[in-house]
Amino acid sequence: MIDHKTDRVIRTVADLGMDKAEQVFTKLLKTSVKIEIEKVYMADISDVTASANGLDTKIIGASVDLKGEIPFKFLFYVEERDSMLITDLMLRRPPGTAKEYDKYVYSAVQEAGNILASAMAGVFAADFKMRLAPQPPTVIHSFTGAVFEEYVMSTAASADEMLIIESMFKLTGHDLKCMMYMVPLCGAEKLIEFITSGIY
Amino acid sequence: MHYGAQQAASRLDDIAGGLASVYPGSGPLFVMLGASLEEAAGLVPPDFRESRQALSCVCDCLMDVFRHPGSPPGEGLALLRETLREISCALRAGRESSLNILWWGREFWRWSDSGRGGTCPLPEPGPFVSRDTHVWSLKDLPGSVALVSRNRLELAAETAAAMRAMSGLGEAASDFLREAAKLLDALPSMSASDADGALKKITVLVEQSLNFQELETGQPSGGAGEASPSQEGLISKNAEQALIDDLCAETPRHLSVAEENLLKLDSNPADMDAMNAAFRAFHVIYGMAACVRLEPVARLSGCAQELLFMLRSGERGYDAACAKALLQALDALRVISSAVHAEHSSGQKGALPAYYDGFVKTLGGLADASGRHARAASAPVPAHRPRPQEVEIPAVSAGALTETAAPGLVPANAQGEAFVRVRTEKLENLVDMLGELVISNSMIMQDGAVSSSSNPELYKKISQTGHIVRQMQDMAMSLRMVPMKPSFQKLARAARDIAERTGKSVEFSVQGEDTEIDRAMAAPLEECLLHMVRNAVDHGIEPPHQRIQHGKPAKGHVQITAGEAGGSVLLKISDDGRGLSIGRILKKAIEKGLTVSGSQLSDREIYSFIFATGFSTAEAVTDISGRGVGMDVVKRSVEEMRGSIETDSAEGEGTTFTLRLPLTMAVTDGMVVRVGRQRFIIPTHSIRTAMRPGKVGISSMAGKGQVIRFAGEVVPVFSLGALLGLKEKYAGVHDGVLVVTEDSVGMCAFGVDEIVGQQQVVMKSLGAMLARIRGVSGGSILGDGRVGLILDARELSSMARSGA
Amino acid sequence: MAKTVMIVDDAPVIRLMLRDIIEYNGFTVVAECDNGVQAVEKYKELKPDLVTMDITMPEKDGIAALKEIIALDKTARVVMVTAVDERESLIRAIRSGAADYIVKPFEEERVLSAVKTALGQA
Repeated sequence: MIDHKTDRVIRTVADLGMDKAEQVFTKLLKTSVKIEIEKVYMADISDVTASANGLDTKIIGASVDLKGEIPFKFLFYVEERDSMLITDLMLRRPPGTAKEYDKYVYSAVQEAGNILASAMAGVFAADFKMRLAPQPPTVIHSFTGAVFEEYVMSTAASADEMLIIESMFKLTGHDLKCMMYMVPLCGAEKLIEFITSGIY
Repeated sequence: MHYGAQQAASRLDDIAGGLASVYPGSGPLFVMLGASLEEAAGLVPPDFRESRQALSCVCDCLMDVFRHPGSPPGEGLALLRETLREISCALRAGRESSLNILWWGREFWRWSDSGRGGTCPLPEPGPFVSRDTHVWSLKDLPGSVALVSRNRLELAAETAAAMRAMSGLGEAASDFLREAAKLLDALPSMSASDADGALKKITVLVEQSLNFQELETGQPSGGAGEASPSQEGLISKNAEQALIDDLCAETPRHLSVAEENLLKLDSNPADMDAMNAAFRAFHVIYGMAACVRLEPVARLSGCAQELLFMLRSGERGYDAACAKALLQALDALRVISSAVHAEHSSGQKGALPAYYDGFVKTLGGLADASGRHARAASAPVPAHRPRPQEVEIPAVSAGALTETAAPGLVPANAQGEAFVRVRTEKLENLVDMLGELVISNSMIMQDGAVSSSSNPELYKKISQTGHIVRQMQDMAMSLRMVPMKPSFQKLARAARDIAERTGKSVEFSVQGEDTEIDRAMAAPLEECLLHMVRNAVDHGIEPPHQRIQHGKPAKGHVQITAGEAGGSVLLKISDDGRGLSIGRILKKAIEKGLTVSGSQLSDREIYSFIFATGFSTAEAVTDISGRGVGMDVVKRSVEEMRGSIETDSAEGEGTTFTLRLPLTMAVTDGMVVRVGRQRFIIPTHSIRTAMRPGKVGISSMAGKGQVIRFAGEVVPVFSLGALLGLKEKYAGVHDGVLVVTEDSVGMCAFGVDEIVGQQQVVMKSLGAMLARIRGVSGGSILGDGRVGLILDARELSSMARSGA
Repeated sequence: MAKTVMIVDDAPVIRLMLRDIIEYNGFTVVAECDNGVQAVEKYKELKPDLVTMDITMPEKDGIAALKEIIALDKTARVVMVTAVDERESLIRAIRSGAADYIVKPFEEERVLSAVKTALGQA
């Protein structure tokens, strides 16, 4: 359970990152993007996979490790059919041009993840003096459950619970939703400690 | 007092205290909370109608909260806590009703309404009806504005207006109320913690005004009767604990100041400083005592203060009788205040010393009570205003630090923040030392032995220390800097007032109100700005019909833009009024002998005459401005702050004054560059990017010199070494790095030998002489101990562009 | 003879975008690499007039590759094209010899002007 104060602080931090993420994603796809922070919560490692919505939906996701003093694990995914639209938007091609799950589609999701994660890292560095170094992303194309499992397991969290920041992207003019997850690997306390030591 | 009421109050206090442990999703706790509240409601005697009503409303809302657990309840719990506290207070005081109960109750109801709809069962706190109600009701203002609501602010504004309109009070009382009104005006723009402090002060001021009312009219002005000291101890039941804390903590110190100065006065009755200091000390004690209705202390210190006032104003000569009385008063105060302290901490009821009554008579006799009280109180310094050489810093505990990160939450045991008085000198030393520490730390970081890869662990540790050091420095900086927002509020008010008085229609706007300035500059700067705004509205903006005649919108515009640029604070005061008339100024200047006709003067030079002493081209000297003594004082002030003021105007269109003030100590993020063997720092905020164009990247353009293309623009390229006139050898623009800067005019690329790195630099002013160097805004000590000049990118750009 | 460019980025979609821009404007793309090791190898082999270099890549990152290439050839023109939007990274790149630093997502115009400037065609 997170107390109100922790929730507030984390949301503020996430909000700052999301602002930049919105900007950057809008520029990437040349279409207006809105990002909403859906939930901030503590989840049991074993529960996380269970709560991922639409377990039988296939998605393509990019997971990025952000290394640093306060490491983060970042996951960005879209439903597989939407990934082609993302690719077309990125390449400024008419939607519908991409027809198969080829290296362009996968790398489009990969770059989206990379750019988003780097943008957030930049914000954290600038606003909280938190240095994060994004690593090359890993792309997975599978069922939601499997993707999540891979994401969570590779987190190798030392605790049984992890703090999850879940946000949803909405692209105007296209019926498309993307999801983004941020997990501070050290846990909520460490994160808050780091941040609040700089706020007075 | 009703036993039932007492019981209910205790129960409510318990519940309020226990609210801290309620957390989201704790269903069982919510249920128990509801049950306890119902039980407590049952204990409240029937004639406490409002309390009962509030409690039942709250219980209902509570269930709503529980049913909708999605909303973070922290805020709601705080509202609930306040409601319960108010009810408990009212019960204890035997007051059947209170504005506060209704207020907080309504807030809670409103907060908990997640689609419930309907109207709140609690009535609106009634409108103010009479003068006495106004004044008394002020004491009922909620003690904490951690959650500021619109309602509260409206009430504050209303009350302020009412206070101002109040007549029939003695002068002294009015003074206190005026002071309180000013604070109320500023309330909306204050932060939650400042507002807390402000409300406390307002309460003190109101109390003082009430006291003076009493003294003048001989009648108490409403409210609960005072507890008689001999029966129930010295401390009144209504007294707020936090204020008694303050009193106990502060009185000994003030008494010793008073004593020190009384003794000085004894050996030299003409020592005005000592007299003032003693007066102030008693005055402060009086203020504190008055607001907790600590009658004996208030009376004694009040009389002592009065006597000193008379001595100061010469109405009475200093003689042995005075000396003795004052010192005896001091001793008596010591005795009584330690009794109060004992009572406060251990509950042991104190009593007045036997000689008290007789002594007060003597003292009163010396001070000659009739009508003097009023004047005594209208002397400066109400109770808690910080004095010039001292600085008040909120002492916030480490736990509370994290609290402030989440607005809207009131910590469980919120008593308001404690303040610590610190001598400004100490603070400045601290800030300086921290600056040195940053530099020292940089030096360590840059030492080869540390940064080499052979010892990454050590580097990491030192990095961490550096991190902490930088945070400390930020903290120190923030201690010195104050936001300009409150000043801007005052300016807005002044502008409105004057516009009204002079029949003008003016819109006043501010940009950059979050800009901060050094604490020491805040007051003089405000004075300057105030005068300039007055001028702008009174003289600059034309009356509406005239404006329309000239094709301007009837509403004039006065704007203040504040910002930071290259190590200075820039303030622009502009209006779209009639502008400065070169002709009139010149004529006046010739009249005053400042110049002779026929001399060739630039517009700028002519404008500068308005800063001459006694200069004013206003047709009629209004009581607002135009006496001609204003602008010269402004200029002097600005120069004393080591700043500058520029004038720009277009006749018929408007005027803009630009004030540039140094940040005497600023920490900037800068990019350190090397030109030849010299190092310079370019503030990061001016830098757009850096690049290495190489021999090929730079081209020559006719009429523009050397340029590069960047982001679709043609950017001029200049060699920094050449621009600064460096005598030594440095790399040509082709061989080194280009730092691309950007300002409101455009981009500019400066060629340097190399980029050394990034550093946070502590900017030190260069002193009066060197401050005149164009392009340089200060100096700093770099990580290796050498000095680097901090460049002003904007100035450099304009120097470069104008080919200077 | 048209100027030669080598594109280094681990994401095919980015390589495609850059190729489109570069070829459309009359330059020739002589190689594409997806990591730093390959980048250095290919540079040795082909000596392109310009290199666009990503930073975050597997095997060897862009800064390391940049340093190696500059060490090989002082006159190498390398323009960083990266998602890393941090002042420190910019400084590091420029100090290591990069000609320019473009942040993703990029505008076509920005890439073009950077390439042209780096190749001496303003």
